[in-house]
Amino acid sequence: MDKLISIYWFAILTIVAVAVVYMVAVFYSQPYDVREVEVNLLVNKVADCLSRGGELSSDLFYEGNFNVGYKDNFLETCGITFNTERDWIELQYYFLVEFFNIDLSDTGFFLEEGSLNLISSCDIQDEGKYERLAECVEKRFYAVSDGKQYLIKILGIVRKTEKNVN
Amino acid sequence: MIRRGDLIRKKRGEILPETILFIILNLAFITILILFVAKQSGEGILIEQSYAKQISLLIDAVEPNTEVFIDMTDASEIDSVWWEDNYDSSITVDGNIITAKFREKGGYSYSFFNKVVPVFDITSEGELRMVVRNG
Repeated sequence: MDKLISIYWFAILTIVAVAVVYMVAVFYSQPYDVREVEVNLLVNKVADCLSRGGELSSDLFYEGNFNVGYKDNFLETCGITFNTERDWIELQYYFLVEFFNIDLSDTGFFLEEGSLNLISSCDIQDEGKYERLAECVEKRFYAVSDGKQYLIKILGIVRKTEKNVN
Repeated sequence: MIRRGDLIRKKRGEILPETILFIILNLAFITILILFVAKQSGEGILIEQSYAKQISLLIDAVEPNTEVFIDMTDASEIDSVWWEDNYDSSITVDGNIITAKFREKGGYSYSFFNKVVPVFDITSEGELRMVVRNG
């Protein structure tokens, strides 16, 4: 009977129970963080919109030069919407597409949509304590148009922190 | 005169109930902990969040006119009474926002960025058929 009423045994059981409850509560209160997948999908979507089979869309050019007017309706053309499920103050998405010549010289043409404020998150997101910031991904690929090669860099950012990180 | 057999019987009689009770109480404690963990892992909010995000990401990933099947049997088991009456509206779309709701006081929403229109067909067994149409 000593074992049953032992204050030490009761203390051990209590500590174990509290530890398990705490760990389970912490583990299951964390939301699933899908931003990395989401930002990769966004970058792929933009890339697919610009280039199919390694050839840049003809809509990007006008009389041999980049079509500046293409920027105005880019989201509509690509079938992208930045509406989100909560009334955040700022947009939760951003992407920047830069076009370079094959010798890496800048063509001066770029496409940009979303919240510019999110860019600052990318510089410091590698440090673990900043995981609450936006998720950034940069991808690059080569494509041709009229026999001329281009390097295209796409920076994609998704924030949605409140829905993905506690 | 006390015989040896009596001593053994007496000794067994003292120790056995105590040990059994001790083991039973410990097993009960472990069982309660396991049930608690199992209950937490099967909570509706987690499953709603999981399906809302999965479906949103699928919509972003697939080409228009793609047909997707998802097994949501676990969702149908959260609140079976509610599910029987409302399974066809357990996944809804409002613009580009997906909402998964598998219980009376539940619901979790997540948005997708593709400008498409997903169409859902859900069976009472929890099988979801989704077709993504051009927006």
